[in-house]
Amino acid sequence: MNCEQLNTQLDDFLDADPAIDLNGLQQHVDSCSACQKQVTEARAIRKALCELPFEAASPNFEARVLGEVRRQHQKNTQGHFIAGFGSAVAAGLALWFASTLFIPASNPLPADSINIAMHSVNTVKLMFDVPDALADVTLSIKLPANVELQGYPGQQQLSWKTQLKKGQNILALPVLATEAGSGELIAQLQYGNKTKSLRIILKSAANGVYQYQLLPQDPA
Amino acid sequence: MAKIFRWPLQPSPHDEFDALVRPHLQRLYKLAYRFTRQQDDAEDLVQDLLLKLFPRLDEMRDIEKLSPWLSRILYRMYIDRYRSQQRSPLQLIDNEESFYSDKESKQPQPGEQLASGQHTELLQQALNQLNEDQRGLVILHDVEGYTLQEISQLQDTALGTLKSRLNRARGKLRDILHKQGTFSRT
Repeated sequence: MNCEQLNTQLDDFLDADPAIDLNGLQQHVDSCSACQKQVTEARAIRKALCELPFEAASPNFEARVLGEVRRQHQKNTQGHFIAGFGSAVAAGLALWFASTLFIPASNPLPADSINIAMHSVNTVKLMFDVPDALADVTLSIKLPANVELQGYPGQQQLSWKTQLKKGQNILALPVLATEAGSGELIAQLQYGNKTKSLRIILKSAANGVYQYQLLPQDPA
Repeated sequence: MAKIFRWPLQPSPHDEFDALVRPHLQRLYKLAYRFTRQQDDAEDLVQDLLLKLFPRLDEMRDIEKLSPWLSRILYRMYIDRYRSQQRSPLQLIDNEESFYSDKESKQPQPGEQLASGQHTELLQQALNQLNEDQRGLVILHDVEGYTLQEISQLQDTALGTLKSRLNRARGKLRDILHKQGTFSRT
C-alpha cells in the first residue's frame, strides 16, 4: 500500500469499509507519518462535524407551531360549519330532542339560569331524547367567542360522530368562560340529511356570574 | 335509564395529529436548522411542514415509521422552497481559486492552532462552500448521523451514487479547510 492508495480510499478506510484492504492500509498508515497526519486530520474533521453546534428552537416552539395548525385549519373549516346551519332541514325529522339543562338543586337562581364561574370548568349538560337508536350521528358544537371547551383551547367549533341509544342521551360539556360577555352556544345534531339545532344564550357578568336561557327549538 | 356520554367521545383530529408529530418536532427542527442555518427559517419550515401534513392525517395513521417519512417531506420542501433563498455569509462560487486569492490575507497562518469557537465557524463556512447536494449529504450523514440507507430513501438516490458523492464532498471539504489554513497540507 502507498500514499496515493490511502489518499483515494481515505474515507472508505475511515468508514472501515470491508470492501477494501483495511489491514494493508493500516500497516501503511502506521509506517507513514504523512498519512498518519492525514488520517488524524480527517478524523478530527468528522468529529467536529458530529459536534457542530446549533441554535435551539425558540421557547414554546412546539406549542406555537401546533397551535398555528389548529388555528389555520379551524379557520378553513369555519365556512363549512356555518353553511351547514344555513341549510339545515328539520321538516319530517323522525327524531326530536329535548333541550334540557340540568340545574343543580342548590342553584338559587330561576329555573332557566345557572351559575357558572369564570376561569373554572363548569359542566353544561344537554339531553337528547330520541325515539329510536341512531348510529352514525354527527354532533357539532359552536361556542361563543368567550367560551371554550376544556382541552380544546382556542377552538370555537368542534364536531364528531357518535351514536345515540333509544331514549335519553346526556352530553356533558366541560365549558370554560374566558371573558365576561354573552353569546350563543349552538348544538347541532345531524342524522342523514336531517338536522336539528339547539341554541343557548350564555351570559357572564363582570362579577363572574354566568347565566343562560333556553330559546325555542327549531320547528319540526 | 339515561345514557351519559362524556366529552370528547373520540380524540379530535387535532389531538391525534399532535400526538403523532410532537415526538418528532425537535428532531425535525434540528434538521431544518442544519439546512437553513437560521432559527427563524428552520421554525417556519417545520411549521409549513405541519400545515401541509394535517390534511393527510388519514395517510399518516397508516405509516409504520413516521420519522423517516417526515424527514423526507421536510427535506423535499427545503429543496423546493429554500434552495433559491439560501442565505450564507459566504457566497458559493465556482472558482475557488479566485475566492482564496481575495481572502488569503485574512486567513489564519497554516498550521496555526485555533480556539474551538473559531474552528467551528471555519468548519461551518467550509460547509457553506459545498454545493447544495454535497452540503445536504454531509449534513445528513456526518453531522446528523443518518445512514446511507436512510438517505437513499430520503433522496430517492441509489446507495452507490450516494457513497461516491459523499466521499467527493468530504474530500472537497478537506480541501477547503486546508486552503483556509485550518489544517496544513502535508
